[in-house]
Amino acid sequence: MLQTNRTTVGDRKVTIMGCGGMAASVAITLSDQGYGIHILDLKIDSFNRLPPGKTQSGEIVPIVGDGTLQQDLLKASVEDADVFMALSDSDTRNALAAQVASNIFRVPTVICRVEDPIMQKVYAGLGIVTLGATTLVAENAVKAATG
Amino acid sequence: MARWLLSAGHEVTVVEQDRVLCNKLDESLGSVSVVGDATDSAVLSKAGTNRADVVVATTRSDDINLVACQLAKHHFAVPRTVSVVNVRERTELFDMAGIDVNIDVTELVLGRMQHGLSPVGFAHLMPVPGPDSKALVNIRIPADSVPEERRIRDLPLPNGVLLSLVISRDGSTTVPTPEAVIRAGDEVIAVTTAEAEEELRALLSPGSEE
Repeated sequence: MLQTNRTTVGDRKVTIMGCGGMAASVAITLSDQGYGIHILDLKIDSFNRLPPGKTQSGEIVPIVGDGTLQQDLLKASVEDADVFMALSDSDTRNALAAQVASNIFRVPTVICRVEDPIMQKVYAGLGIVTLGATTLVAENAVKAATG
Repeated sequence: MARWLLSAGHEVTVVEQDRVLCNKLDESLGSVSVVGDATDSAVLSKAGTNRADVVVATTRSDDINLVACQLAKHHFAVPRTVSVVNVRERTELFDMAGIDVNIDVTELVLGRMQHGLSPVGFAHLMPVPGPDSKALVNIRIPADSVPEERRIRDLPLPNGVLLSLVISRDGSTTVPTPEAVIRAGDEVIAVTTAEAEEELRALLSPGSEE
């Protein structure tokens, strides 16, 4: 499963932190669109969410590691990444990783998953693109209800 | 730390997730704790963070320390944030993220170890923020130091040195006054400029190496 360290697929590279349900689905969709994906997770079992075909072909490269640490981000080719997405289940770890990617590695586009609405506001104010399922669902629920 | 701040006359609130620890703290210091997650703005609100002059983050998780300080700074407009940084490489990021004072745990521990390993000691504890590269240092006065006692006002202290604390060999701590006496075997915590460091070391702990 971990034969290659670097994806050679795609002109545009995305490094993703976290391989939970949401992150895996983002990785698969972006890969289908031709992006080369490096994906980090602390637990090797999380990579079972990825289709074996994609990991064997090197379209998605899974790396066991901590996306808040520079050394592990480097293993996930953060230096070559056009996009970094912090999509783990922890708001605080996502916030830390996103700031490392943006301030230390200068990744051009950084997206940070944050569920807490106050944290979302704070990080948006600091120029970090934040997304949260909670707010998205809430907005859509209101839209659906009010037509 | 909470005890020290309280004794210095500050109003202190401790946010801690462990209810048992909070109860212990409240028993010994009076009602000072708020149970909860320091990255939850409702908890920070309950702790009166909007009135705080300083927020200090000391958990073992750097992500929590960073977010708690950034929430304090940007949501609660706290003027000053201080954080422990557990993984050394992150101090650069914490500086970039606008945390006012970052305390590198590795550096602290290394300093203490160097100090413990050397028979006569001089160790850096932490840098003091500011333009003229001051540092907080710990000097152990050798047990066989002569004369055995010296009055502080008689010491030819170099300019740029401020003696901050004396830890006597029996373990009691005092803030040094000019009339106080330091003895062989005592430890002294001092703030010193880089230039004055060598002279201070030679004065209090001759022959010591860092």
